Amino acid sequence: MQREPDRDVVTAEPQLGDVLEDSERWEVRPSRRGRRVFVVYLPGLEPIFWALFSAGGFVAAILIPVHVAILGIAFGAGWLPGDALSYGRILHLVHNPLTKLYLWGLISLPIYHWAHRFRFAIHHQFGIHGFKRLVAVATYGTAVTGTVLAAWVLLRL
Amino acid sequence: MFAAAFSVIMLLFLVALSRGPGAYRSFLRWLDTPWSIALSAIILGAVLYHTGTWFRLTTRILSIRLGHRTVSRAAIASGLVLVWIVASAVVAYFHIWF
Repeated sequence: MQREPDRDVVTAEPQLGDVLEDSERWEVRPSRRGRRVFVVYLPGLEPIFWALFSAGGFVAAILIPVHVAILGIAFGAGWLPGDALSYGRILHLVHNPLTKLYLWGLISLPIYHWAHRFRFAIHHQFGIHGFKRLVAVATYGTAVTGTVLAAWVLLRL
Repeated sequence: MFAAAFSVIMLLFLVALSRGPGAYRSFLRWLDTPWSIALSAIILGAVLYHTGTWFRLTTRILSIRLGHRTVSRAAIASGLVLVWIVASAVVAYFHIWF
């Protein structure tokens, strides 16, 4: 299939190993004609996901522990006052738009953190160098799905 | 990975909340089971480990200059721990008493 050269296609001399090392490149596809290598590259997405990974790292470090301690452990252990998690009180709290915005970030950002980290783990720790696009779509797709689900649930509340 | 597992729990909590008092009560009953508490204990351990490694990482990456002096890594680490304590206190206040 002939393709017009455009911004998404970078042609280079065959340096397949170099390109595979470069985690910003999503997929390496040998050309059918000659010795040129086509790199399908989505410019601009990697920094966005990196920023979301970083934000998710801070949310996971600073905010998640106290939430797990309260919801996961203190409630089950009976350390909370009786009405702390009562339906009416929590519903009232969650109806506040600021709480919704907070919960949206609290839920979605750690999933981006997982997605970015797990994608790197697959390629660089498990040593699987193929399926770059599939892995990216599966991991970031999960994160985007989580973001949309969280927004949907919060907007319906 | 463990923080994302908590994201799923939090999402299910909100789904239960949106489906009314009955669904919400069932979810709270699940939170009360030993399995749920054990799962949360594992997540809490992993997330606290992440807090430690993430803060240490930040002190290596972040370089703050005040005039001609660079803020020391120990000061950045103390600042992060302070932010962590204050944020946890604020979340606990709204979550439990507000």
